[in-house]
Amino acid sequence: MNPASRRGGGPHLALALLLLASLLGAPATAALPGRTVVLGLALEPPNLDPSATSAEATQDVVYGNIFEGLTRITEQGRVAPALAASWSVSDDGLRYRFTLRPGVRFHDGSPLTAADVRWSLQRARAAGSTNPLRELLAPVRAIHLIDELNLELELSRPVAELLTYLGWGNLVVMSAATAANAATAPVGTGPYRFVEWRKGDAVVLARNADYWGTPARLDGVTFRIVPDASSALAALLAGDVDGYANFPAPESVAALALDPRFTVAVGSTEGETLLAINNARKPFDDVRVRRALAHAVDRRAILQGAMYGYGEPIGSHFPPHDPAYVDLTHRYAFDPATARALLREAGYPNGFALTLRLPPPYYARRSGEIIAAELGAIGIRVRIENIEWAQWLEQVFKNRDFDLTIVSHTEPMDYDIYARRGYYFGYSNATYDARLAELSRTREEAVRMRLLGELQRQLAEDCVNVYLFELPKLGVWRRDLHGLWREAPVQGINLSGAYLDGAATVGTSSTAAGPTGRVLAIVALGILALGALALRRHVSARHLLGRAAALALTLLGASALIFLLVNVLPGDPAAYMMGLNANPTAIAHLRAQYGLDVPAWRQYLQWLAGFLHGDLGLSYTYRVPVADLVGQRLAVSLPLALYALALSLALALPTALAAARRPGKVLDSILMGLAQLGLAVPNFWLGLLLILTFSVQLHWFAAGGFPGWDAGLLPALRALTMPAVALAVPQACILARVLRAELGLALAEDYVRTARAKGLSPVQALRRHALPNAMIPALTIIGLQFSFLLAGAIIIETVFALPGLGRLLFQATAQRDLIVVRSVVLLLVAAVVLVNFLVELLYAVVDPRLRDGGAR
Amino acid sequence: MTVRLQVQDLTVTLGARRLLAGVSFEVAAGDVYGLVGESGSGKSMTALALVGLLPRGAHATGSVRLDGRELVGADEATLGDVRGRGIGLVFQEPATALNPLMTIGAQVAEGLRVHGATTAVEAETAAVLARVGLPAASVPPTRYPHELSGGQRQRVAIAIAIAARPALLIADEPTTALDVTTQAHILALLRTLVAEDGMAMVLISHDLAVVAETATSLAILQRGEIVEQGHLAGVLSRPAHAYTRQLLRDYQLPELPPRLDGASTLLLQADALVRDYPLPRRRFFGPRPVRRALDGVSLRIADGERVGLVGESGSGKSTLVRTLLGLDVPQAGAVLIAGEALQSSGTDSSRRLRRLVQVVFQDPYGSLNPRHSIARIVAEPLYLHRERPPRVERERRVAAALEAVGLGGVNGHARPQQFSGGQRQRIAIARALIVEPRLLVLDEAVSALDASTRLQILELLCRLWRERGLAYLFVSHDLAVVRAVTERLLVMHEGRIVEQGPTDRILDRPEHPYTRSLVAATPLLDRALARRGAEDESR
Amino acid sequence: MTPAWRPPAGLAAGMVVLLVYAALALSSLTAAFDAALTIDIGARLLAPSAAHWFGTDALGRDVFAMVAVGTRASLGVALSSVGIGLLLGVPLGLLAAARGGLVDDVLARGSDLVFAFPSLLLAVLLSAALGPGALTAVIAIGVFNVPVFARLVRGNGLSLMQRDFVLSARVAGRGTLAIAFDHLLPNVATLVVVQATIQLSLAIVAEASLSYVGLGVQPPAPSWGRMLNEAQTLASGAPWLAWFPGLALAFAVLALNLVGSALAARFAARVPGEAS
Repeated sequence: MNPASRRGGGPHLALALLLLASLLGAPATAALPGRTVVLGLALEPPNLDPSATSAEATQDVVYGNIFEGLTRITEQGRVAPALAASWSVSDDGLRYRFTLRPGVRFHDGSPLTAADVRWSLQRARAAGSTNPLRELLAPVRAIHLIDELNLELELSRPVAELLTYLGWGNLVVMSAATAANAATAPVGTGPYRFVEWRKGDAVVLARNADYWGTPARLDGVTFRIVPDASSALAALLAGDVDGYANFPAPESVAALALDPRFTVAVGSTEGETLLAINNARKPFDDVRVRRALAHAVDRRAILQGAMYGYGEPIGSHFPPHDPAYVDLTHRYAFDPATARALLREAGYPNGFALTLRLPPPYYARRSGEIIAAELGAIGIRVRIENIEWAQWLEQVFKNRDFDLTIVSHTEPMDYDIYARRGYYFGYSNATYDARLAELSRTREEAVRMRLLGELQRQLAEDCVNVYLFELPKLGVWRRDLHGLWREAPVQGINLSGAYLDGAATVGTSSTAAGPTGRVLAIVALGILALGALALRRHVSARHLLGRAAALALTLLGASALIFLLVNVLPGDPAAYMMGLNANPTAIAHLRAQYGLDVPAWRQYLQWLAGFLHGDLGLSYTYRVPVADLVGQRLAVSLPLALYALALSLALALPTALAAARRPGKVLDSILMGLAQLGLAVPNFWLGLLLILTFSVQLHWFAAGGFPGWDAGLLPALRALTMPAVALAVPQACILARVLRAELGLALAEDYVRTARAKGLSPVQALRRHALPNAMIPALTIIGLQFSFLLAGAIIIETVFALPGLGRLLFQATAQRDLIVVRSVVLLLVAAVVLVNFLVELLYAVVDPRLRDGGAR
Repeated sequence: MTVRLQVQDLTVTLGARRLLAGVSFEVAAGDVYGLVGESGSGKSMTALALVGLLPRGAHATGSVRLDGRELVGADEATLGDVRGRGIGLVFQEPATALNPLMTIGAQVAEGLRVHGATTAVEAETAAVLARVGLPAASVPPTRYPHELSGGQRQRVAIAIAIAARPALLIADEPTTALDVTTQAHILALLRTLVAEDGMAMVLISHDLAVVAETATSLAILQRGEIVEQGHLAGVLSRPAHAYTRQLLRDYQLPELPPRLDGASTLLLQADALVRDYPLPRRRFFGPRPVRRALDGVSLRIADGERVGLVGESGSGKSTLVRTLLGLDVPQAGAVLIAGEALQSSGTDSSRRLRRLVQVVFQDPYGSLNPRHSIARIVAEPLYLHRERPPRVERERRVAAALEAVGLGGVNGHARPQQFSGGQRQRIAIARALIVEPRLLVLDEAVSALDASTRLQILELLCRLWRERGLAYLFVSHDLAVVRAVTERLLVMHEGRIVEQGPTDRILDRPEHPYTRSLVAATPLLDRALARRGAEDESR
Repeated sequence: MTPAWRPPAGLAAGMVVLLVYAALALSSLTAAFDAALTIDIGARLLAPSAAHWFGTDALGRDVFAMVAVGTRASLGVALSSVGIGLLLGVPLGLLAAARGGLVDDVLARGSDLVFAFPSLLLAVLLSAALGPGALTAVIAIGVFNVPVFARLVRGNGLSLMQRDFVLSARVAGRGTLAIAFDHLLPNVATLVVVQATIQLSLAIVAEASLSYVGLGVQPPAPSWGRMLNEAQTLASGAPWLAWFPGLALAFAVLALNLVGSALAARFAARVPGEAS
């Protein structure tokens, strides 16, 4: 080794230490003072552009808060003026003239004009538009600008519901200048402006001080993503979130209602929950079979068992709170005998077998189990298949490859889907279509009521689906939080009137991005420092190069394997992203945009080439560079892994040393027995027990979630403590046992005897001679554990709702975001391979026998 | 001379077992006291008992006095002080006796520091290492153990033992793992150190010849008891105890039967064998260096001939054996059996030729598959017949082969674990004999056996030679054994055969310098006794 | 050396626990269990009692019966996945050790590749690709087991290849396959058995983890991991839902580990070829 490289080690090490110091000393940004609330959200919005997706989560966050339309829908479901102060409709119903409010400004300061409205509507109805309501705007012939504040919509035929449509989230008004970035940086006119979106964790909004209407009374709102129904309750009890507009665990609602700390507001949604039937497939094309299903299902048992009594039974595709609602729930009473008779009549005296495909929401999965049992009682053998949203969209919604499924249709006034040809129910009835057309032409309220009633009856009579219940809106929030909506007549969590009385609130907000760069730099410098150290210690460059080449080969093989696996994943990502009502042209458009239309081998090469340049591609769902996503998540996962590793070492080392000091004595037996026990406790169960004990009962730690590094080092470490403990304890047990065994072997070695013969005490011999030698095999375990902790934390990140890399991967897999999946997996693989390489370097540093290219 | 170590009635028990029973002896300054016995006789236990490092659960009674200070029952602080400063220890395995992660200097210095040295430790370390023949100029103290040869490592172990100038040096089989020439150097070093420092020394060995060359007095241990002790020459020339007499008798090797006369056809022929093993590249793009294990080796073995092959470890003996057996392919040269080259396995000709040459390996524990029955092991070479004989015939042959090696009537279903080392070696020979080979390659076949068993196996080999006229290639590092068994000798050194000829001639009048050093370094009981006798007379 | 912290009773205790699990798995096939597993909304979330030893779940099913039936899924998936590892890994490792060359290279590269994936990652990826389910879990965990056994067998096989009895067999004209299966296999068998118990316990945890995140055994078949997931929201009011499946899991792992340690200790005294 040349002298220069020998000297190289020092400065590198110093630099690394300096950087580490700067990370630890990073100034903690103070939380915004005063009155902000944190609301829990079960699903993360795929993006924040409400005009491009029908995803409910997107509307939840942005509609009525950031964005507004010409009209708005009140909590009672009525149309009210919003950005349009007033309007007039021509007598033939073909011309709508709107007058905008004066002095309205977008959050970027630009004034709202009629041109913005026209641009937004034109964009929604344009040919390449991905707006889910594009088809509803088909009757719009032209949009005429009259002046700065006035414009006119000209229709080709009357659309009675037009003013309602304009109050839906998909048709909000955006400015041409900012709409392109709306997915990640939405700029609207609403009472709140967008501050930050921490992917996988939270979306942060702050009050818009220049709001045209009554300004918001809260300083800010943070929507925190708590993806698991399981962790939702814990997060609420632990005070991580102030409330849920829609709480995903109905089983806990009754208990929460008794809890003086919380307000429970059970309302209704527009979500008709159906046992959807594939009418086009045998034997379900026979109405007798469908009716048999309807008679076999006990709605009350389902409401009790799955929904814990929340929700209202329905008999057709219509919300009970609507004035036009007709109660048809008695049309098919729960009656297994009738059901069996109908089956016999249809030619299935012994029943038949079918598959019930269930998407992820809790109501679907839980109802499914009960329905399977109930259908079993009339001789129908049900195979349940739990599938992800992506697969549901691909197999059920798009390819109509299903027998039965359970899903909630949450769009308002969506009875038109029964007239759509090729819709997944496979239903078609000319009478129904005719009445629907008539309804659209009719503006007279009494006639409309009659027509709506007829539509409901027709659906019930044809028993298109088994209509289960109207999805309840289970609002749960702190008692001092007011002004949240009980009902949900339209998608969106409207916070314009929300306020807190009394005390300051929990919840934090921040403006700076996480210290991703710093974390990555530290890792890189650590590797460099180790490398330099290794070179100092005469590790042959040839040996290192050889290992690096083998590394690269492994990575190449892994990348090919990942690409193969990911590209045979079921489901069309474009279709998933576009949501339930997507049209095929929009999907095709998106596919082209993401390069999914070129041959697989070219996609692979492009991916690899990009990867080498640090360009991991663009996430489908988040519409941001994957590298940014990974960076943010790594800022959680890497510290978590290091924290857990440090804990594991801190636990294992003293344990092993104490045990090895007197082999075979009581302490040894006790410690190793405990390790044996600890080894048997799976980490996710331990995590669960930790939450139950320290969050739910003792309130010592937050049950989950991550405040971000900008909240300060201590709060962040606090949030990572329980997950780290859950990860570390089983690992520490493994490590302690391995170390203890290795110490036992080392103690039997001749060199320990030599050391004792020199006059060293047993403890000295243990520490100076046995321990360093025992640490060498333990290094392998530590290396393995690090990669396990980094990626294998998937489960723990789920338990504690941490926005880490594993969680990102898991979500991305479920969301069919293959760009994210393949890059994250490859990155994790690279991390494992790199850690192994580091361990090898470390071997060479600590074990002189491995220097000079010696083999082990 | 002052008595430095006094051992009286030292008894060590482990549970109900007595490992040592009433051992008493004294060692004076400048004396080397030999402890001789077979493995398990309690030699090493004595050493460990002296320094209070007995295994867990073992308990010592009696008295051990070092310069008058009682050590049995002394507290840990006293013993810690005695270890290293009062008593230095050298163990058998230089490969494992040193901590692989520490430099040799640090390991020597640690011994100094633990006994209070604070100043000039490094200089003293260098001085100690220089004393044991490792001057800093050629072997710097910054070296790690793996960078040294076995002999050098043992020198480091000795340096550690004598660093704090102990009153007593205990060397437990210090040269057993070393080649004979290295052994001679280490023994010389120990003698010098004892003389220079006025130490007392206890030398523990199973090898009577080693003790005879080094010690002034000796004790013979058997089953934890000293059966005989006294002045070296006295004990060895006039042994009083039956066990001592037996030990000495085991050194008498069998008489070489006379050479068979008659036409001797050429059985095995090797011509100019070259075998290289690749080493790691020094530079990335540089040529790959090689170690030449065989460098143009040629040899011939005729039917019925007993040929010896000697050389130290690393001389290429093993590679040559593997090449001759067709287990390794040479880069150049050829091996002919009965005039034919060995084809790839599975062909008729290869089976026929392989039947002519069979082998017996060194380790009786490793050469028999522990999961197979004896019958299956012995029958295995029958696969060398194109048609494996039917079961009855196989059983008959197995029985015959076992009979031939003196194991008639053993249970064929037994596993190797149920047999002693000597019996296992007989089984290995039976396996070789079952296909009635003409040449038996004996690769250190008696090296791992204790003296009496070795004698029995050698007698068996002689008998087989008489009965069957087998040719032997007898590979060994033990010159005495080779002299007893072979009539022609090949001496290997660094991949070449440096000298060959009649065994007696080579051992009595070696010509090649290497052979000469080898012969000179080999401890021989007779020679040692003769020298000691002369010393005594001159005293 | 047998360190005293391996309880000598470990093997017996472990075996007894495993037998109990086997008995549970078998008895759960009887009709009595079907009745206990019927959904009964009226009897939901009952605390443990004489009628329901482990209480009932949110749908009124008997938790004891569910834990018992879950045994089938856990043990079934674990045994099958380890079986895959054994059936593919052991012969591969034997061949790599005995023949070397291409087989060895393929094995080395292949296991590098599999080991480059952190343990659960591959399972998640495969589950996503093949669709969740017990079979997927078996394959995903099994794939990981193949190189584990292959490497173990290869490593020990290679050192056996240097042993004199293998050299003797070669001198006796035995071919590669004969050496692999006649000589190497019997001598690595004990190590393989010990490793198999370790892999079994890992597989049980892996299956539970996959089921916990919904990628393993699918409903309505009960599995411990899925029960734990469902317990999470209810655990504050019905902690027995979190306790019993978790304990079942921990005891199974503990039992296997005890058996593994005890076997390892016993076999260590009889490492092939060493004096007994």
